[in-house]
Amino acid sequence: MALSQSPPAFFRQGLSARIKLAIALTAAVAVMQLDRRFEIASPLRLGVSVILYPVSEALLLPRDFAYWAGERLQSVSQLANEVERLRDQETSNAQSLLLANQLRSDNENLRNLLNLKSSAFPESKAGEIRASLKDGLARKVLINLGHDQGLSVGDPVINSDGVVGQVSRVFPLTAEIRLLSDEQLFVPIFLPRSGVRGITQGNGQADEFRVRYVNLAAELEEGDTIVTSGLDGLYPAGLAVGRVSVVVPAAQGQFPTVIAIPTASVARYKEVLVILRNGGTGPAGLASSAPPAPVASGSSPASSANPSTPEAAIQRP
Amino acid sequence: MRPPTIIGRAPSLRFIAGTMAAALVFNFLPWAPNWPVPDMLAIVLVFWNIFLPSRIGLAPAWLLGLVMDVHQGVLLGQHALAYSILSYGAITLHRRIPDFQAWGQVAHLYPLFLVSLASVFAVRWMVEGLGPDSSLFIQPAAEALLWVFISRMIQLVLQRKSRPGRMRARKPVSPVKT
Repeated sequence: MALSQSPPAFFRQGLSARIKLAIALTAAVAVMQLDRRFEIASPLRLGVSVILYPVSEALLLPRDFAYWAGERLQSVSQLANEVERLRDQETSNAQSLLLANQLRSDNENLRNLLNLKSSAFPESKAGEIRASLKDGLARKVLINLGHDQGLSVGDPVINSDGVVGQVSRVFPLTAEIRLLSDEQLFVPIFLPRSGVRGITQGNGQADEFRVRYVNLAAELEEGDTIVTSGLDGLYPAGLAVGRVSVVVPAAQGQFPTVIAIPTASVARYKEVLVILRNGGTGPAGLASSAPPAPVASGSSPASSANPSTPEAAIQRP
Repeated sequence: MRPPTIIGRAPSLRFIAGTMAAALVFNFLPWAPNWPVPDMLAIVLVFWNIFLPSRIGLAPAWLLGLVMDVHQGVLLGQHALAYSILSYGAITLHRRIPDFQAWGQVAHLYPLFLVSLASVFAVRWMVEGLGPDSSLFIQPAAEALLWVFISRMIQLVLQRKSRPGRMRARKPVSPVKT
């Protein structure tokens, strides 16, 4: 039974419900087309998101308070352990930092000698993951950096363990990150042990990704490390991406199915680093096409000097 | 058997807007992305379109759908589409639903929520090539069950508001202390 006591209008009933539905559906499809094909809908999105920003931030406050309280209540021994672990890490990092600085200056000198374009080290901004977007089909998170901090769409995002994802949408104070496990994110990668190149594609659901278009003849094993190849000019070469977890050998005329787990766990650390492409003079990986062999994985220089592209893989028996 | 119906003043616009705002806030809470959390806004929109079909129409549903699209960071318009279908279905069913008991209402509303969510998944599939996941069947069930509860709650509040004794039951104005 309807709530309203006033009787419905007798003569002026307006459009019929079916026509209204048709109008609403047409308008919805039109907005979708505008959002997808043209940039006309982005001011609309921007405006609504700016209005929503204080509300969604306020709704995160109780959770942030719980986190804060939990951190305060951590026991002293846990903190001492953490400090000790971080000190150890800092000591070992200091050594590699020293080495890296030395190598960088060497590299710069050599590049100057050869009159090559110097590969500038890109600027970066540290931020924090605020929330994950409620979208069952996409794997995206929101961080507390935005256009005001110099972010732009396409910037790579890393944390201390490796590649996290890529900036997919930028708002004034926040940005949306597409995680490595999202089905729409592709990262060109390189497997140092076998010297194979490929492209990652997220699985959508679980915290894992597939490695696609790998060499048919490649001998991949579980536990192989995966690093960025830098071929796209976005991600600096040699960043840790993941570890191979499942290898299903290729059927006739098909690529093998390779499943891998990202090294950078978003669930564990909130802190991320956004590499600004507009900040530096250019991406580091762009100038050098051959990826430098990572020191830690101990790959032979021959494997990186002889990359096998998918085309080469198809020609090979 | 016809359940007792609400006879009272039409709810104020402020009350309607308040329920929608509360539903929006519920949807904005930082839920885990993979839980089939019911869409509270859809539930409230269906409630108002069933009980007040002439006042609430497709326009608020369409606009609130756009807000949800922005918040979820998805292609604009897909929730507007889903909520429009939902509201149309609710208006179509508005004479039937109140006559049924709880399970009858669930049986009516489950297909409605299912069709609405399926339209979202259809858009995702056509535009981004992403297949549906298991929440396609679970979430409408949760929404239909929760709708029965929420509609009882809102009716309870409205009955309280429209009870004739309410004015008398109110505390008398305390005399000004000197």
